[in-house]
Amino acid sequence: MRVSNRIQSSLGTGLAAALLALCGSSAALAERYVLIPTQLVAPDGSLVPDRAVVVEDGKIVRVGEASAFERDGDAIRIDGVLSPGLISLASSLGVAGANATSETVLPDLMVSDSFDPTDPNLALAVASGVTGAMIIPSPTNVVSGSSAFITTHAPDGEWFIDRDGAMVFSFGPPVYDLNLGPTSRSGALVVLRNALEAAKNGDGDSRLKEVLDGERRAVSYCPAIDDVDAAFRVFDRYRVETQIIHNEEARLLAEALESTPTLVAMGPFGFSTPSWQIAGAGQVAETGSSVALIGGDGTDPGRALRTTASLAVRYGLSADAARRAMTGAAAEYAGVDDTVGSIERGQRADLVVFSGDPLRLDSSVLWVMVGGEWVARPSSPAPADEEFDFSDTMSESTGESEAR
Amino acid sequence: MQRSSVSSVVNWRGVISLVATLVAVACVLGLSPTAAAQSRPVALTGANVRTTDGGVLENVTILIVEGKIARIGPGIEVPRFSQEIDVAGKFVTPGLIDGASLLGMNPGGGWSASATRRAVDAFDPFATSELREAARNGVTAVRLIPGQSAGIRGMSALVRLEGGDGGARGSVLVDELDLSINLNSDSRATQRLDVFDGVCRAFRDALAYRESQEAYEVQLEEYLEKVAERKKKAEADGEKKDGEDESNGDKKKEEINKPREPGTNRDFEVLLRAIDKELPVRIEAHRSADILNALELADEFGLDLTIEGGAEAHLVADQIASANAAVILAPLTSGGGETGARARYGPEAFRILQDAGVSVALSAGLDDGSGSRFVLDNARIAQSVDPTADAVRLATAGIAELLGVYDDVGSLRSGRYGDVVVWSADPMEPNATVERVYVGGSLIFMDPSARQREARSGRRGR
Repeated sequence: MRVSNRIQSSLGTGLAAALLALCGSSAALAERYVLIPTQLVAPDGSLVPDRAVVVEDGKIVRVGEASAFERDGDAIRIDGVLSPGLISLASSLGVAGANATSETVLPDLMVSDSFDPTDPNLALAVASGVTGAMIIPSPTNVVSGSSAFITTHAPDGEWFIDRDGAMVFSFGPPVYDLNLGPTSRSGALVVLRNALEAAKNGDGDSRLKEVLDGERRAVSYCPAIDDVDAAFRVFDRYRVETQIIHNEEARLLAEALESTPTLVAMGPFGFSTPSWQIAGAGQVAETGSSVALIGGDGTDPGRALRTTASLAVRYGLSADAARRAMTGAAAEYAGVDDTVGSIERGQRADLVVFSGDPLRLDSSVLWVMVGGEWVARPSSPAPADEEFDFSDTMSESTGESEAR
Repeated sequence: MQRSSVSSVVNWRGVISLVATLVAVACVLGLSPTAAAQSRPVALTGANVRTTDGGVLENVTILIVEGKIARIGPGIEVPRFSQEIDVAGKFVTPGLIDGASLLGMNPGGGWSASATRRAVDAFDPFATSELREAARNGVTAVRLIPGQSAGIRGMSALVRLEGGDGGARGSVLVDELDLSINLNSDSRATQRLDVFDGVCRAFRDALAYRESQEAYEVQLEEYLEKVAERKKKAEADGEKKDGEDESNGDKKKEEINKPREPGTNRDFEVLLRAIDKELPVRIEAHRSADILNALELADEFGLDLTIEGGAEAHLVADQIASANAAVILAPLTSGGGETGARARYGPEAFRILQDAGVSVALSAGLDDGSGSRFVLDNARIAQSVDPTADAVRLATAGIAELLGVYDDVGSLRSGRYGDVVVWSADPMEPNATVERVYVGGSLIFMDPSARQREARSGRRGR
């Protein structure tokens, strides 16, 4: 009944060997993989059996019926569930000190400038199944700056999938500052409206103008439900559709969204989160808004995200929507869904093998592939060393043995 | 017994009057009518029962009579007058148990704690929304800890969630389950030393108290002997030398003093029960230094020790194993951060302790009572790091065994309390929902949508 977290076929052992070799050295090995997992997470979030995923040069080049690839020399059967890499939203992964305090309207701030690729949490994120993160400036300013999207593993130094993304607007108490101003909600809205009005009239900030012209997405950080209301009030005036980050009163948010469905990011949910708050994810999803989930940072962001999703399912979010909320919907929220977030042709090969359904908290991460490269096999049982005789297993798995 | 008498009585009028009498008696005793209704046997038929090795037994009948599981197995005959519930295709598990919880309690730190303080006295049986949330996630019992204050904080209790008009309520299975101590790992080093010093002193004082009590017993005996002797002698003297001057007798009276009775100290009495291993001792300690202190304390006073919380227990797993202490881990999601007592804590701790041979159990509500909702989720996380573990077992029999209440709860064996959860699917599946929860054979939670489905198909049990 329990999904075994061992790769069963001998070809699978080959994969493990290849991984070990890749982890140990940077030598480029097979660039083509044909992965045939027990199940995979489809773009709609459902679990589908009997599919094969072909990875070449760091990208997914084909997804097809498993039967068509059974005799493929690169075929690797995996006893596990293949999921798109998990995506960490509203993250501060690798971000070092992105809260400027000189002004409160900072459209020119780019969080990508604060990114520190040596942050040890990046490696921990990969090991936990997180392959991408939408990082945001700390939401302590009315206009906090632009977000970015990073990959969590970039041996070539190409960390950014999007260096200059959505503009982050912040509402509510985090922006109130006695020295800097504003000191109240209405004050904050005056500051924001003035900035937007100036931009509209052409004598303000050009990056804010991009938001007004619909060329740059807007993300509103709204801790309380009246902050959501304030964000809608401000942006409706400019016919700008803003995305929302909100966690608390999602039931009321759902009511507000009945008229204006949008992209919503919620979470994290933990053991202490009130049930009605967790139930918000399902309620918002029912309005037709796309729900993405935030798991929070920390040393095990993948597990935190899966816990958030799993609890959301317990309180009404559908399982498919929950799997999407950690992957495809999160990529959509971050505006990078054409590149990452789903197992589809043309996507980056950011993939995670779980021992079972990623929504099951008893599932563990077996292997992680980032940009077509196997990076980590953190928690799989380590078989005896002799099984990893490199020359034997490689010839077995690459298909060259068949030719011999 | 009551049930067999009902089935043998053919005279219906007699049955009705018997039931009416029972209800009347129950009302007089202050019980709710639902308590009286418990006496009707409940039969869950067609159930799938997960075995702890991951297999499934199909088509099992569970018969609950007078609050306890009377029989379980395939092909059991359902007695007449039973309330028969068809749970074909559904999964049934024992009620889930949380190893440490503040459920239904207003914890309130900072009170002066004492060994006699009882968690059960701070339990609010009418904290219905919190209890209902626990019940709707399949939780039927929790070990309540007596608050979060530092030092010796009182006695834990095992509380079962019982049915009531307003939803789940608490009923106490064991009111003095163990002595709870908190070494306050979250505070600064000097404060932690003070707390530990205070705890050690209390145990030493308890032993000194016992000595003084014992000494008093001896002195009292001696005194009584002397008094009796003098009386005898006085009587003998009186016969011999009646009317002699009394100065000699006065001297003797001064020599014999009645020993002063030391007052009883109920706190020390509790600590002595712990020293005599009548009461297990559960010490909340997170930092490895505090855990080692706890082991030392247990060694010095011969305590039956469980480490509670144990965020760094995996760092001293071997010492814990050789001291034969058990561990109840803090919620597995509560680790992380760069500093603090739990910075080095993570789910892997479970596997490391298990591998070291320590008996490990879990808690979901140690920090926050509402966390007890997620007992099974917490156990699932443990299973993810140790595939040999079984989440359902950890959340039921595993914790019941460690708490010493396995003869009452935590399994579906006959003779155990009828604390049973009916799931829509295998509880390990993410979308499995709790449809019914029985405690002592009475329904304390029913999923509204399951109720509707049942009403439609006209298969309502009642």
